[in-house]
Amino acid sequence: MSSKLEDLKREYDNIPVPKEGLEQTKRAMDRAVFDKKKREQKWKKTWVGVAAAVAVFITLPNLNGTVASALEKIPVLGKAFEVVCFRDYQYDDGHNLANVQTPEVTATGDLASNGAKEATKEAQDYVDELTEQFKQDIKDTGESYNELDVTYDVVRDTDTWFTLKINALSVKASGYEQIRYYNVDKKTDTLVKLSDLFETDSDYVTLISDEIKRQMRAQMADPSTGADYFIDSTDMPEYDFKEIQEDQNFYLDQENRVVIAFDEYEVAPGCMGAVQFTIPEALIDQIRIR
Amino acid sequence: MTGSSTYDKVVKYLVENQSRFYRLAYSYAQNEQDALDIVQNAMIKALEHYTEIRNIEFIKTWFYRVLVNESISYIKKTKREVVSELTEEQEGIYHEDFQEQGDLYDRINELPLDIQNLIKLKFYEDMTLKEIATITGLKENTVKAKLYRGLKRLKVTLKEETA
Repeated sequence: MSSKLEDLKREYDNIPVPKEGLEQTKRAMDRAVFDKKKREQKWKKTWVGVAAAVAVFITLPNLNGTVASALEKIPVLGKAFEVVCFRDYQYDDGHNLANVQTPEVTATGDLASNGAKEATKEAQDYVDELTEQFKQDIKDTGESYNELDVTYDVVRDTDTWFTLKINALSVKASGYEQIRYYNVDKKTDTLVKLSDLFETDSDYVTLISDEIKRQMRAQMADPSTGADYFIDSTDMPEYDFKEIQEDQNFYLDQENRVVIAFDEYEVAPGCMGAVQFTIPEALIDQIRIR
Repeated sequence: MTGSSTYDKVVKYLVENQSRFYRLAYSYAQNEQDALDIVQNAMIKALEHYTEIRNIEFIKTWFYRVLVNESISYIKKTKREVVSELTEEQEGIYHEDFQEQGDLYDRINELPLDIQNLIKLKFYEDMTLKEIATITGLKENTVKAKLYRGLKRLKVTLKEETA
């Protein structure tokens, strides 16, 4: 290259960059990213609200004597659960903003419920962890923009089942949406993991994972869905969805079907949000025990 | 959580290369505030339209197209008269002796915009002819021809450049 052009390049590279100005530009971008996540989350909240408004009826199996007497010892069966805001953490310093609600689950009527206690503990541990991370991020990133928004919903509260949902949106350079479900089986008054739904030696992980892959491919093959998942990719196969975790996040929908939930970015690009897959009952009814 | 989504990568790419974008915008706008506006507008547009990127590997050419378009529309908005004057005179200038005076850097900004783009991408941003072709939507051979014409006008000679 001629030396004139080298001089030219040098002159160009020496254009001073205004640090403060670019920091503002970055903040404007953070704000745009956050607004996008917020819009997506609002839309999802509305949708969940509609789903939750559908009445839920569960028929208990005929109770024989032994089971009936056992049930007497489980007073929460048939009782509604109550969720109150245990702690409300607010923070706003102009750059960083937090609105965090920590729930507490109890059985109505002052009943001691093991399931409610377990759900409360897990949910609170999770929210505390997010809050600590937020506080740490403020320290680490100084002037930049952080936001944490945590709310909760009761997805389901029937005679036999209770599901608490935590919606967490954390925004740093980009937003990240996480949803956690805490399911209590009121028949045993315990917190239920996905593995508890199935017979011990069953391979529900493969069964469900294959079904999710099938649904992903079907949606991607239909351009009208606009769906995109991390699967069958040629450029980054290491990020492809392989299988669900043993205790993957889940809840039961109004028809008692298993719905598998993923965090944003876990199995799909950010534009897809936090995605969920409903597993057809016929596929798993042989191994399902609750 | 893989953190590998297109959106995340776009955000990361934009944040990491802000200074480069600023310099290129500055080479068009010639003042700090307008250059910052150009960069900011281009970034916001990129975030709004990131789904158009089919493959994250194309982020660079994709974003530079947004940035160059934003710079040009800025120039057209604010300096319309100046630019059109220049364009009218250009043919005359080039057929006469382009006086080799003033800084080469300044003289580049007096070239027609389409040629400015090519020279800036090639020599400021060190891009390949292929990348420039993608950004400008021109054929590679056209990029090459225009680049040489531009350099000729600047009275800069080059040894054979390979993309």
